Amino acid sequence: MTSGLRAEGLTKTFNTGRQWFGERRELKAVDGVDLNVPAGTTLGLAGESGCGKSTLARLLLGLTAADSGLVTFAGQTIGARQDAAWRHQRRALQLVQQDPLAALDRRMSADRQVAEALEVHRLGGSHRQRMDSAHAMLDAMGVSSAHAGKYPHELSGGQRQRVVIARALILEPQLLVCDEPVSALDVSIQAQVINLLKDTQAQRGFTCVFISHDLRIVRHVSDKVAVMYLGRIVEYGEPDDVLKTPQHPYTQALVAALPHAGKRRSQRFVLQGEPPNPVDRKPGCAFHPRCPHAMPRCAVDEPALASTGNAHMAACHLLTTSNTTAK
Amino acid sequence: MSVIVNSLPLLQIRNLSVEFGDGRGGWLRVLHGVNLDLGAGECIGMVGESGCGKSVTWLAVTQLLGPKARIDGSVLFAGEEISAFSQGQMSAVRGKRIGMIFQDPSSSLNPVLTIGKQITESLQRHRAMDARSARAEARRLLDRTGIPAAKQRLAQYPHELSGGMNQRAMIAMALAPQPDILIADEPTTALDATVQAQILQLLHDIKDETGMALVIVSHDLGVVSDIADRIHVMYAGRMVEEAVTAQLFASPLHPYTRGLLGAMPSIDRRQRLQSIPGTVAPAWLNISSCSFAARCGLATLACHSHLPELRGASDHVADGHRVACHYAMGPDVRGLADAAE
Repeated sequence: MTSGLRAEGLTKTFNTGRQWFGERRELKAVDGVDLNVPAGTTLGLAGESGCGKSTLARLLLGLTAADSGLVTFAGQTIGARQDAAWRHQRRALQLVQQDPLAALDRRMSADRQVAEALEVHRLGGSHRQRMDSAHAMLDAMGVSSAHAGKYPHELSGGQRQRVVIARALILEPQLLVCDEPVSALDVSIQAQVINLLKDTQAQRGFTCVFISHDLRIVRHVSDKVAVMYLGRIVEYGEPDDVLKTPQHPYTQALVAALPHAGKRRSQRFVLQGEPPNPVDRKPGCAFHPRCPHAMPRCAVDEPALASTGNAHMAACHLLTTSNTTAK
Repeated sequence: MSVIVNSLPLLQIRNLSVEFGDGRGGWLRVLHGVNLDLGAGECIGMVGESGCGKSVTWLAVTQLLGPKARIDGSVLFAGEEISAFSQGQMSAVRGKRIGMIFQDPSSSLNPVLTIGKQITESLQRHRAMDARSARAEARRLLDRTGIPAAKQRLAQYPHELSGGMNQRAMIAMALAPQPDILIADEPTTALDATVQAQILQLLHDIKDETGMALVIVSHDLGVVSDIADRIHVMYAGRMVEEAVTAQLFASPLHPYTRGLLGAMPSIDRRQRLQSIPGTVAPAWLNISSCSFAARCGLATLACHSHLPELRGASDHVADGHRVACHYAMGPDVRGLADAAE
């Protein structure tokens, strides 16, 4: 119970500011999220832009203060307190973001940035020892010593992302949150970075939250998959269960939208309607304005996550009102 | 004349090369002799990673590269050599007979004009419509792209619409002059998965309705395979493989194509991704060797010294399956290729 990452009832609302003569509006980025990621496993978080997945990542790491709810990791409470204990926690909780060029300091060579992570936490001995560990870590991440002394602009996109990962992993974190780590990379480089993350996790055993809009990648790396829609988790389960027998109509639409290699788009199910504006959240189930199976009840009651068997959960009235599966 | 026109494909690109100035008086060749045929009503996909020349090919065809580029080769469009056209002549072709949509719709649309104004402008310019009929046609086009409440959208500005709606507006604008060819460069890359599916379906339906030819340029083989009849794979400024879509997926011949397919996470199987080692070499290197040789597990001495030409694959000449690889040609291809798997 004490190990791993747990979140209970996480909520975060942003004020979007007042428009001219408009009323103040609120954006519920994360709305009552519960999570449990056992130590050493990977949770994949999928969803479209604006669904709150990046805000959730920042809440889990204690980088943004939650309005309500609790995050614990390895038994310790994680909060955005900015005190000495919080700074001490930073070492164990690391983040890899989408755009490596923005994440790196352009005026510092790759090896110095990796060594700096140690310096900040007063680890790793002398400057020379830190630089040696930085080179060893970069080498393990596939950045050879010929490239280690280069500046970010001299490196390719894949190499930059390896430097970012090396900088996170040199602190030997227990939790690594990857927010769209491969979205900015070419397909062949994506595969390299994903394999690298998987291999390193197998060696070092850290817990991982892997965020991506691409269900194919999420499925590939994760032990459990959670699908988010407008701040809520609408489906959760084993990757195979979620992708092969999706229960929530939104997940079904996401799966149907996946390009199938070599198979033609012949009258496949295409979800109608636009992704919603998170500010204009409708009452009831957040998905009901786009849902092909919406019932009157969906506009009123918000469905809760309910088990559909095998630790596979979905938040949809179709699953609770009758025993028929959403089809 | 018409006889000749009918026997030619709608667009015929021969030996198209592009060079950019390196700022020191030299020239860097980023596109190496691309050949391509596009028939009326056909949909082709151009696939490759960043810098492979898939976009530059079409920017060169439409003469949008500007004076810093040196373009060489022949582009026959409906029987006319448009590569020799002046910018003035070209502006009667570009946008009108060859339409284009790009990756990021919100940066392609004019932020200070309403959606309606931008579509009617295109109609008035290219189809010489009066204001009233242009407005009616704009509404019809926008309706066709499936935007909800099309009438209200005409009076809105791009920042008031979502990315998906802006892309629909771009499509409506590109379709306004009834082009013979629509070039869609990464049309869905900036969009969410469910919207991506909608836009691809829309492009596919419109192509069938209007009979225009469609070119989808994308880094994602999955996106292209959804709607393209034929796929061209590019690597480092060269075409390395082309085949009918089903054929390409069933029996990819070039090691790079195989690598790309292996690197795609599949939803049916969960297995270790095959990664292609190394990084893409700049297109201006490797003038006389296979540009993929440095990353290829099958490469031999010949690959580093001889440039493979794009040729009909031995078993599949009739299907138009062509590949640029010394080893995809030989009698023992299958053995080698299977060993690499």
